Amino acid sequence: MIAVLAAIFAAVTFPGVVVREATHLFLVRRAKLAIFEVRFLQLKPPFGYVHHEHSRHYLASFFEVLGPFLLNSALCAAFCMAAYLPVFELRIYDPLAWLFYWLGLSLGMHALPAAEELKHLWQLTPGALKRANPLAVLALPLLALTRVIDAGRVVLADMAYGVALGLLLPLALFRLLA
Amino acid sequence: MRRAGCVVCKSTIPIAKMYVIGGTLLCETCATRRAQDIKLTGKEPRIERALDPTICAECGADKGETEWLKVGGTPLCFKCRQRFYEVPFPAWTLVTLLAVFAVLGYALWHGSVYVEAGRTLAEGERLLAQKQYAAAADDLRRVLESGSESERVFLLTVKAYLLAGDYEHARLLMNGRTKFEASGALFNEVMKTWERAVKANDLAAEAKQLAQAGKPQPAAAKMREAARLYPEMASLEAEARSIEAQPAGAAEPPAPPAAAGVRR
Repeated sequence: MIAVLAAIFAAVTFPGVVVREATHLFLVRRAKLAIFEVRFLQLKPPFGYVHHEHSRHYLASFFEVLGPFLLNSALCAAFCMAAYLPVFELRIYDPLAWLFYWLGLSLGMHALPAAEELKHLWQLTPGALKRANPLAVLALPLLALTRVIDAGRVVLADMAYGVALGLLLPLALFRLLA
Repeated sequence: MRRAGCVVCKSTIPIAKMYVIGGTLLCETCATRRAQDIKLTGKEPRIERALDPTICAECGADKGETEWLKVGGTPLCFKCRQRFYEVPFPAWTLVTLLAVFAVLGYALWHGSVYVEAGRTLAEGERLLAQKQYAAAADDLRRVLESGSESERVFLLTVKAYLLAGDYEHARLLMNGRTKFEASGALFNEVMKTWERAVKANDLAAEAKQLAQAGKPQPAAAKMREAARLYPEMASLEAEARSIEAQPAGAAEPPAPPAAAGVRR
């Protein structure tokens, strides 16, 4: 039953997985790391992956691990903000707006990096902090957040993150600007 | 090629032909036996192929006594290593990423059409909170005219009209809507005000009939009652005063103020 639900979830939200893994592959290639296996989409968890060697450089690891997360999150927020007004505030019948909302939410729901990748960057962070690497200071709260969400994957925290980003951020922004 | 001894049977064989179970280097026969023993305990054995650092794990190229460079802990020859470092970036993924950005650009442009309506809604809500009801009603009306089907916006507009004393516009809006899905605080508040306004306007209509029949005293009392019930509509009070000023027995009432005299 869970496998069927997972397959349906992956099929419905596939753009998020594809974009995350495409960005991941792009950044891993930019970091000149060896790539062992790439899967852009599959119907069982993890829905996509790029198996590659880990970099010992903090900068490369930061971008390779958090880059896809940041891009997916930014795209989710942008798509949902573009569609928020007609869908939720004004309730104007606009199928395109719903399409953008679906895209945004699927990107947000698959923003989280793999647990192993997060663990690797987490292990590199104390050393980088000791070297006063500003990127490590920047990454620490992000890493803490992503690790908390990662720990809650069993209760679908990764999905909740996408929904929260797609619904609450535009709502907060609208209320702030109103 | 390097050789090593099996921990159990002590036979010396090439490392590439050995296995690692639980950190122990074993020959194939001993590894099979160990795996079966573990399975009997109900656990799943974790069997790994032993890696000879002088033999490429991918193609088996032997470098004699010199070790190959390792990638992710695995010894690989130059050719195989290159293969892992030169994984192509498929054209379709690039096209997908570019398409997503193009769609985002379109989505933002498409969304900008609603920004004006959103801004007007926010302004209307702000004016409503500041009790500038007439101005708020104008803004909220424009949001409805932009195609909004939001019940909340509808109720806010009706509320603004009612609190501005503009019963006629509120009536026109309410008469065009027969069904409501909302049942929250806003809905209850609007319905309460609406019922009050309807009752007041019914009384005003009755008062006018009485005034026309030459009964200014009861007409004035009814109009006063209407004005008391719906004080937001200032014309009711003005009309009550006007009827009171009318001499008893006069058949025609004075000309009513522009906003008064509306009926449900």
